[in-house]
Amino acid sequence: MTGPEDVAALESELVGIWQEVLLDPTVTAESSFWDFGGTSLTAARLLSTTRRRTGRTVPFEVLIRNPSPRQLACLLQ
Amino acid sequence: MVNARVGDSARAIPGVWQPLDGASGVDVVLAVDFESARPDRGLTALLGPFAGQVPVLRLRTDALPVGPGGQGLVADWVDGLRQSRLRPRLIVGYCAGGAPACAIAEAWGADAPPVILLDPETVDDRTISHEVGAALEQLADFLPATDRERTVAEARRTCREQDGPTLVRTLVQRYQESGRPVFAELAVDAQAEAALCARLASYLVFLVTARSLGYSDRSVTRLLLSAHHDPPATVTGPIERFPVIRAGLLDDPGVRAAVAAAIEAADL
Repeated sequence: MTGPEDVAALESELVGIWQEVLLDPTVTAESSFWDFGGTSLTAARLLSTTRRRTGRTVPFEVLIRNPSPRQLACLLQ
Repeated sequence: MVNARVGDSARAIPGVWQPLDGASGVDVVLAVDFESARPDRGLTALLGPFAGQVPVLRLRTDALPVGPGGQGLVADWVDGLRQSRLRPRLIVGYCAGGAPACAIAEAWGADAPPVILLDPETVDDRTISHEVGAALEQLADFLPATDRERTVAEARRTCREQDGPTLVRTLVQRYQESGRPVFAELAVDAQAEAALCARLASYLVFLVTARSLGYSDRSVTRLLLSAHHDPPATVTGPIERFPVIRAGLLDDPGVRAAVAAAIEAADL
């Protein structure tokens, strides 16, 4: 069963991935991937890194429609 | 048979059309452009605010099949509406979506809806190879400029020699070959690489389709143009020009008002 702590942990993990791939430590849980210069290529890097680190597979379209760590964490919970 | 209504059920509309959230009904406004990944861009942003009052369907372009192309694809789009008993009462086309918007209206046949085009663009070999270059530009930090320029030049030659699904497959294959070392360096895995290439393929299908459809003596209801954009020579209709650069056209209040007036005139 997934609890709020698990979602928070996933969100935190995703924030770290966002910061690393977008090369910007100011990214927060609510930051949109697009507002930080996201491109198709960086999206592909995010998806790969997310899969490697969390074991979760996120389709491209899901990231596009849920571009912040918080949105994605809620969806993946 | 009772007509399906936009908003009653997403399943009522075959996958080629995506309802923007909001009103339901059988008489709809169609939005035709290549769907930007960002919901705050393109026709989704322009027409989204109207979706609370009238049903708006946007063409889904995130996973176009590398198959029929041209008129075959247009026939699929029109069939999707007919199967759901939906009636287009206004078609809005933007940029490269201009030619598909006109083709949809023509394919609808009798009782064809009015068509409004915003900065309609002619898609040619140069446009397509330019967009391949734009995709490669994302690899610029890792791929030498000479390699990118060579690939774009090859793409331009290929655009002259090939068409339809063959052209799309060739261009995507070249992009993938050029990008593979970069993907490896950036730890982009095979699944993400495939998704990246599928999205490029979808975009190229849209462009190649627009190129093949063209604009042969099209008369449209209205042309809304940015300050320096000229419509294709074979497209005619009343012109309304706005004092904005192209990138600002869809955000312009005057454009929004013109679209609002057209929606009102469509009497949905």
